[in-house]
Amino acid sequence: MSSMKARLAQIGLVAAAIGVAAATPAGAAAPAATPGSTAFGLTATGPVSVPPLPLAQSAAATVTRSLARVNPDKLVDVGVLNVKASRGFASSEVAKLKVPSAGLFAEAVTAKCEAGRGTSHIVNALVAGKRLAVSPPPNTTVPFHVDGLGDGAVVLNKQERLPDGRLRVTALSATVPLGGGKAQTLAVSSATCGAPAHAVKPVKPVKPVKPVKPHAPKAAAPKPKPVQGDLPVTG
Amino acid sequence: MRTHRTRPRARAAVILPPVAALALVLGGCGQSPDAATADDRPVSAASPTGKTPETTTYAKIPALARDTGAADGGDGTVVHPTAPRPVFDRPGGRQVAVLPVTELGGPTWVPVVERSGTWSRVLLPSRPDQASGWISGEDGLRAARSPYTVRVDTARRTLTLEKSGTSVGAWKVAVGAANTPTPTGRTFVLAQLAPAKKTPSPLVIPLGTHSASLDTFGGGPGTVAFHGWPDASVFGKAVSHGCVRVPDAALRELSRVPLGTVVLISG
Repeated sequence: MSSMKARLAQIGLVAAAIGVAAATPAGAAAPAATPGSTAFGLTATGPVSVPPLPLAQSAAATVTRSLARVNPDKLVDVGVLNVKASRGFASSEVAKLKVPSAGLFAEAVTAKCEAGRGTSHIVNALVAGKRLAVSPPPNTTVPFHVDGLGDGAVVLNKQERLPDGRLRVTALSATVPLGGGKAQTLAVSSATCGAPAHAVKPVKPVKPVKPVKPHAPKAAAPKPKPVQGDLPVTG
Repeated sequence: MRTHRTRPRARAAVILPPVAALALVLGGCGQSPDAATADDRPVSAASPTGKTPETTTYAKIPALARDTGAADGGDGTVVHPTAPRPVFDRPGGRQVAVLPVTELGGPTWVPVVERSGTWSRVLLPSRPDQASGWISGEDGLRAARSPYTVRVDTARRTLTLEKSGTSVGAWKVAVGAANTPTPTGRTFVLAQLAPAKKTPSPLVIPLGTHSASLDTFGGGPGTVAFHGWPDASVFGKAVSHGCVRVPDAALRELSRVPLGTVVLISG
C-alpha cells in the first residue's frame, strides 16, 4: 500500500511538472521567436511521452526550475533535476538516471550552453555494460544491443545548431529498443543558448542581394601552403 | 633519369616484380624509398587513442559510406576540423572513423557533398575509394568555400580547371595506363607536398583516391596525385601508374586550388 502511495506521489509530481511546462508559452521543441535560452532535464517521445521537464526559458533574467524526481513509467527513472536559463546561458543538471531495460545508468548528467558554446559531462555512466566517457567529443554515438529487444544507441554531447543560430547541447540522447521494432527516445539534460547580446552587431538594412545556395559559407577557402615532405604516389 | 641514381632504389628495382620495378623506374613522383615521408605513420587504420580508425590516405576502412556516384562538385563548401572529429556511417548512426586535424602534415580540409539536417556528408581519403562519412554539427568545424572544380577526362586525357563555373584553363595530361588506370569518380585535393627532390616535380598534390590496381606503390598506399613531369611528350597519353601528370602551367594553376576542392574524374 505504501508503494502505491509513493507511485501516486510520483505521478502527481509529474502531472504538476507537466502543468508548469504547459503554462510556458513555447516548449523546448519549438523555441520562442526571440532567441532566448532554454534548458530542460528530461523529455521522452515514443510509447512513453514526457514533455520537457522541468523547463526553464528566458531571454533576460535568470529563470530556474527544479524537480525532485521524474518516474513516468518503469522505463525511466530520474532523480533530482535542476535547470537554469538566462540571456546567453542555459544549464541542466540531472542526477540518478536509470533506464533499466537498456542497462543505462548515470550518477549525474549535465549540460551547459554559454555564449553559443556547449559542454556536457556524464559521471559514472554505463549502457549495456559499456562505460561511457565523462566528457566525450560532440556527437559521440555509442551503439548497444539488448538481448530480446534489439539495437539501440546513445548519442553523447549531442550538439545541434538550430535554424535561428542558437546552439543546443544535449548531454545524453538515447534510442532504447523496446522489442517488436519499437523504440523509445529519451533526451537527458539539454541546454540551448544563443550568442551574447553584445556579440550581435546591429545590422543596417541592405538592398536585396543575389540569393546564395543554402549553407554555402562565404569565407574563401585558404590558399594551400605546400608541406615539405614526400609521399610515394602512383607516378 | 636522375632519380635512379640512389642505390637503395636500384636494389629495390632488382628484387621487385617487373611491374613494380617499372613503376619505380618511372619515378614515383621523384620520391626515393629512403626519403622521409610527410606522414611517417605506418600503414595502419588504428587511431592512437582507441579502436576507431583515423581516416587518412593510409587507412582502409570498409565501414565508411561510399559516395553516391554523383558527378557534381557540390556547392564548394569545404570544412576543416579543429579537433579530431567522429565520422559516422549515416546521420545518427554508428561511429566508424575519426577525421584527424591534419593529413600528410598539412591541415585537413574535406568537401561537403550532402547534408541532412545538422549532418554533413564529406568525402574522405581512405580506401575503399569513393569513401565518405557523416559528421555532425558546426562547432569545431571551420567552413569555407572553394570556387574551384577540377575535372579530369581520362578518355580525352585532359584536365580542366574551373573557377566559379568558368574555365581557368584546360591542358593535355598523362593519365593511367591500361593496366594501371586513373580511378574515376568524385574525389578531392588532399594535400600539397614539396618533395625534397624537385625532379620530376617540385610539387605533388595527392588526392583522396587510390589506384585500384596497385595496393601499394613505392612504399606508399597507392595514392593518386597531380604532379608535374619533365618530359612533355607524355602529355595526352595513358602512360602513368594512376597519377595525373600535368604540364608546368597546369601545376602552377593547381597550386592555387584550396585543399578540399572537389576533383571529378571521368573516363
